[in-house]
Amino acid sequence: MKLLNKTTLYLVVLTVIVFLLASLAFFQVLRNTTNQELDKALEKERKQVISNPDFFLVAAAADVPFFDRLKVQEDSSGQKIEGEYYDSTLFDNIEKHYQPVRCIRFTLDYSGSIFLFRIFKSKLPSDQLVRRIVLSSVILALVFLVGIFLVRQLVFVRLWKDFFVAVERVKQFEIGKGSIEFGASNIKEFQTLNTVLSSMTRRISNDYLNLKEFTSNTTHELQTPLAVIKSKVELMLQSDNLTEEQVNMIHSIYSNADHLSRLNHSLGLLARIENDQFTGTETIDFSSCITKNIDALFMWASEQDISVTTTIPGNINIRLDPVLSDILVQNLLKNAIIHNVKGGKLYISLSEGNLKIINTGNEPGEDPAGYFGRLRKGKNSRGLGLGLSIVKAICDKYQFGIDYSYHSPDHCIELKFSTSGQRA
Amino acid sequence: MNILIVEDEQSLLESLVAYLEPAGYSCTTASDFKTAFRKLDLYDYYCILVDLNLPDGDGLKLINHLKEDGSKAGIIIISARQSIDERIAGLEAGADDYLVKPFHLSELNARIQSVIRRLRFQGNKQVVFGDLVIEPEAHKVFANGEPVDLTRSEIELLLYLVSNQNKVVTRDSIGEHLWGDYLRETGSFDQVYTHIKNLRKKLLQAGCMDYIKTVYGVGYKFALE
Repeated sequence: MKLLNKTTLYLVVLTVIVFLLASLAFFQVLRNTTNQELDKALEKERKQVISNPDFFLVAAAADVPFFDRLKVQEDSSGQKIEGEYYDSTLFDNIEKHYQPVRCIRFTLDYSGSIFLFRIFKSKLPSDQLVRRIVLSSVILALVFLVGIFLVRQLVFVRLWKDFFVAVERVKQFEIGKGSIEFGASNIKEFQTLNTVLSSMTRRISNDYLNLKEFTSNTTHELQTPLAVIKSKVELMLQSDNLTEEQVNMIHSIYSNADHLSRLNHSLGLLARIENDQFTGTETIDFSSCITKNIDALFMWASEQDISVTTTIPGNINIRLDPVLSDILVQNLLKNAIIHNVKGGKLYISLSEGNLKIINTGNEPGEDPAGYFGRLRKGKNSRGLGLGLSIVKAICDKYQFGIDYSYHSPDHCIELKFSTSGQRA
Repeated sequence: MNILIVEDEQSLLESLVAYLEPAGYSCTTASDFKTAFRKLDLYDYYCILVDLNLPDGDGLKLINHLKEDGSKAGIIIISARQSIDERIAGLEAGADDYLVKPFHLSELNARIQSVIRRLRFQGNKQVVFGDLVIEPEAHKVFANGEPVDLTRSEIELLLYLVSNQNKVVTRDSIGEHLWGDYLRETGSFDQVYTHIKNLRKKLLQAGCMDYIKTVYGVGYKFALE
């Protein structure tokens, strides 16, 4: 729920509860107060009656209908009542309806008989008063509620404006696309927020750019010493008087330097893909890209007696950087051949938005999805372990779907791509 | 044939000279932009190897300067930078080839010869070695005057070996030369062996001497005896 709506909701609920409770309490207090007042008056009148019973007996018999009513009757029940207060109703002959009344009743011993006196006082005015007061309180509550909504629109919106602006700006932050200025605010907490967000985005941007630069410099820097090593080794191999043992050792240095260099090269490529350094998105004829690369691999396939079957219709396009297109296809095909078995099969099927590569191979030692992690290799792989990571990096960049599954004895990689514009 | 090597990494520079001098080149070296610039003004070279990252200047500017002067020297860029953009920039500036470090010295040698062949002789140069005559542009090979039927790949292999005659050429570099970097992992050295075997067979059948010597555990050497 939105901030302002939640705030308003809390205020509304609070207001309603407070007013409800207050009204009830108020109502109770008012009623008690008015009753107390009435009771005091009734007591006074009781005293008057007791001090002058003749008069009041006559008055009661007359039953004159004015403000306070008095009723008397002979009471033979024998009970003695000092003074009891209670609420009741009395029929008004003039207004022709029942009136709420407060009563006192008491017994009086007079000239040999016991009389039960009841004095009635109208509660109407005080009841009306109470009703009016409660109504006012309800109206006040409503006014309060309206006020809350007004406050929400006029005050809260203004109060939180800087905050909402900051939220919008943060949403716009994209790493690598510069830092964001968050402006000033005259509310202390929002000012703090803005300052912190500003410096944070600036730091993140700088760190990212530094890292990008560092990665590309590192791979670059490593190549020169490696070049020196390989060149010296190649020179050493020219010597005529090397023992077999020396030759083997030197060659081992050579292969490992070579492995290092290729690893470095591939890691550099991965870094560059992930850092968005390939921006030349074009519509590529995927069919011919794949066909061209399959032809190049034909020699290896036949050397390992791998039969290659393809279903590649023409004119199927894909949108990505042309360099990455070749790298993607090469790594997929390379993977399918390296992990194949002698006399195995390789099947490549291309359709609109979908590329399937199925190859025979040994059972994977782990969940095939893990192969996309860096430097993961099958048991006897001669590869670097980066081929599929590079494939995954390219797929992530263009939001292609990639899936690796194993259904004995086939490994299957499925690539789902779009021919329309992808966010690159 | 004199070549100029512009490279600031001293050890690498020494290696290049140590490999190329015995191969018949006369090598001049320069470790920085200023020296290279001076040397270019003083002499003509068949081929110039340029490292782009010099301490006091950009190698590309050297290339620009050469092109402005109308130099006919072959230019090969040797650089650790491998991005496509850099490659394109280098070639557009006028370089004839672009080799990414680290590279096989034998590969560099083959490229130098290829560039010189193209530039100095409009590609009509014949490569002669012992009984063999190779016409690279025409993709023809003759042994003792008779044509030898070799596949493109085999001619490429032969040319590579001849370019690096009397040098030990590793199987690695042969594989990379013929099939590029990415295919390295796909194949094993068996492929190189197979190719060499086929080439050798065809040459012998054509009456050629067996110039291909096997250097055990490492590679091959193409030599007269």
